Amino acid sequence: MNYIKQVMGEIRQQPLSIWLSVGGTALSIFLVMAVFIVNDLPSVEARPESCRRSLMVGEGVELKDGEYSSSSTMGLSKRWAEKFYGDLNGVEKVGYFHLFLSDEDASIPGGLNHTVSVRNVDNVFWDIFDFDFIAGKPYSKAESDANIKVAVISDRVARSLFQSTEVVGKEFMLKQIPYRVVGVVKEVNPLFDLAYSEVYVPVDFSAPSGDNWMSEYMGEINVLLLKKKGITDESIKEQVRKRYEAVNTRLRKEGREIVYHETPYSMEVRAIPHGSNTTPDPNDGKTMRWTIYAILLLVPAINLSGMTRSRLRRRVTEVGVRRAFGATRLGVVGQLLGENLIVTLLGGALGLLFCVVFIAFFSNLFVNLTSDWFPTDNLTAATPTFSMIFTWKAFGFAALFCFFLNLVSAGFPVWKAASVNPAEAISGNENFKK
Amino acid sequence: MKRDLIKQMKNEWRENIWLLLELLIVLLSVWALIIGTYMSVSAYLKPRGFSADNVYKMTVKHVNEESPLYVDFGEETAAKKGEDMLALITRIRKSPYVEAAAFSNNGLPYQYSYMGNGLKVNGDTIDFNGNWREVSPDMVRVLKYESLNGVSADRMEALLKKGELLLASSKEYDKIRDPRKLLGAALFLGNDSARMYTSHVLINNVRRSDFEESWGGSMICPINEEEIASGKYTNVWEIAVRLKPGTESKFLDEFRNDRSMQIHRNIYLGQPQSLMKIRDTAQRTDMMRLRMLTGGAVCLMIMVFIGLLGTFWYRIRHRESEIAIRKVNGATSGDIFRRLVSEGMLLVIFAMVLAVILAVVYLRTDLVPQTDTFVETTIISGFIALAIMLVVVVAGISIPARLAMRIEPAVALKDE
Repeated sequence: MNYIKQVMGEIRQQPLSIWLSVGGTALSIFLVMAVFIVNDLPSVEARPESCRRSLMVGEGVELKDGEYSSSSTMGLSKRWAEKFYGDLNGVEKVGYFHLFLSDEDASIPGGLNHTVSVRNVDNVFWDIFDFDFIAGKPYSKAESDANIKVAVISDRVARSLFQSTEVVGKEFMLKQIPYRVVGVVKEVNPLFDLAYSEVYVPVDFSAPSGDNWMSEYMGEINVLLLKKKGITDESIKEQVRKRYEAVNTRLRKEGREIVYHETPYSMEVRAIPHGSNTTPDPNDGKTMRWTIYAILLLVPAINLSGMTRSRLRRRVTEVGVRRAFGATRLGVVGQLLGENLIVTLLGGALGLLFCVVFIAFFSNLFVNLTSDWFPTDNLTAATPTFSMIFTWKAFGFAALFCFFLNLVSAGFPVWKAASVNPAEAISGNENFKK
Repeated sequence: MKRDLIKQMKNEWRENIWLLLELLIVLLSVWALIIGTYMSVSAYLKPRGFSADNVYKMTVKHVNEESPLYVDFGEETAAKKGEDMLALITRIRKSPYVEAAAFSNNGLPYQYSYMGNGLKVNGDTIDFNGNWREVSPDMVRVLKYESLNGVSADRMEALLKKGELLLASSKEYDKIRDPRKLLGAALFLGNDSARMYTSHVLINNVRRSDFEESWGGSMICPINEEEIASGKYTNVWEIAVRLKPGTESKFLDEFRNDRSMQIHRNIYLGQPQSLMKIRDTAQRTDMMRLRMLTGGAVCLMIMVFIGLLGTFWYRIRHRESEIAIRKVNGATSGDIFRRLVSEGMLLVIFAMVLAVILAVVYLRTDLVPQTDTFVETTIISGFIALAIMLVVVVAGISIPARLAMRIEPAVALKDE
């Protein structure tokens, strides 16, 4: 309570200094949190991707024929997707789906044509992700395996096509083929780029392969792996690495190779820009991010340090009196750091609030989708919700940053102030002023 | 006065060293941000070599056998597909809203596919590399290619009809060869001496994105519409149309309501998509990066502004008696203002000297991006960063300096 009283007194006596300190801290926390929240979005868990921390994605295959010739795609053939990622130890569920959405025409007889995003997914997809079904249910394993023309559609598409969401059992034309609606789901935020689509239909596993050795491996299939609790990403990757190695032992005899790019990827790793012929480097971007944090800590710390020093100059006599009445140096340091922490936390809270409001309103300008190959018509919906922005992790990071900022900016001036000789401080000849 | 100022700054070295460190960190950060921004903006401002306004893309699709619309015409052949596509483009060209329509295979910008190919002049060891873009001759009017050697649009179209290429050189090729020497020469595709091309037109590069500096040049290769029906082209997946200005919604209505524009036998066209909209999606990441860079620089500037404002405010209050004595001795308010601002500017210049030393060390390392213009970009960006910092420093110090100008010597020195 004393700390707060003291800070209130300081606000009255030195308003400019306090408000500049609060403003500087708020700006710093705003920037740090903006960087943190935007970088953390790919791993924030919310419906329907409530399992992001347990999820890994198998994608990409690069094939080398000789020293120079190589070819790669983001998808595999069903056969090799199963061989590389099926029946892994520590994996609870394996789903096969198309990573890329396709834009297709959808209509009902006599109705207008609508361009919709379509994703091909198997029945396990519905068990892995936590969709909000407004009507009906997902298609079954039998329907999925037989590639029956059934579809789950989003509520927005249901309203566009049928002007209603009670449409289970109704038919519509997709790619000029009649599909039967079996379920209607609440539309997914495009930021959840694995679960997002407007229409979901079964995967056609019978897609023909091409006429060279590479096409045996390549296709459009990607794999979702839901890990069991306590299983590390490394243990899953190690098993896949061994499977690649076993295939390569045979292929290398023919002068060929399947390049292993450290798949499957966790959600954090997936968010790092990469192609089907490159390995995402988890360290890539980390150095840059920590440099940004360091700059955003140092610059305001130097600013605030100057202001704290100036503020403490006015309190040298008070510090001298406190020391003369028996206060220890550590006690004075604790008192002054505590007061400063209140100012920093005030600035931090303002900065965090400003950051959350800013991201909520302007995220479209700064928050990127994980995939560049996204549909064109629905990007405005890619706005993070409040629960995605304001997580306890973000809050904890902001608090920790405030603590460090306080320590770095006020530590030295406070130590100097607490080190004054009481007699000199009271007489006005203290060293601190020099 | 300058010597006097430096002496005073030296006396206050403890505070100034921190301020100098802050200015150095911010200057280096802003410099790096400006380099990134400068590179993006300079690529963005380069000529595009086409016009995307009023251009729409329609994807060619195939009716599946499972569809009730599927018509069994016997065996599906490339020739039948070609006939269907020709019928569709002929109908589209009849629309009163269409200025021109053309077939394309990798012919449109803002799509990140790259069909790399190399052309060779007989006897030369250096290839002319670029993105192989196949288009029918009408694409000259759809995308409005810009000729660099004064060839008119009609002539470009006529040359494409004759089977000639349009070439867009890249700065990589320009550095080692004069692209004009390719004009009129016999050009071979890769090592296949049987496939010979010629070209008499150089155009501005049709880049994949406005932010892409260069990925080699482009080779605009003609699709002969007369041969489409013979099944020669199996990879034509798009039709691009240029609409008359202001007719977009009318055309889209016509397309939606007229089935003959959408489907012919087993070939149908996807909904028309605006090339400008495709551009916005394709360049979303680049635009976001640009906003991040400029936003970061602005925020750092605000931080410096706040820091200088606070530091100089207290510095002036600390120096009230000194300023009053100067005024008593004849210094004008302008002298006081200039002295304080000069102090800040000198600090920025010291910081810049240190920043330049660090930049020179950096430029000698392997960390420097391997682009020809990086050193030049670094120098220009350094000047821009310095100018911005000076403006911010003057703005940050001006407010407390005005306070100093108003100091009354009699009031300030009353205790002395």
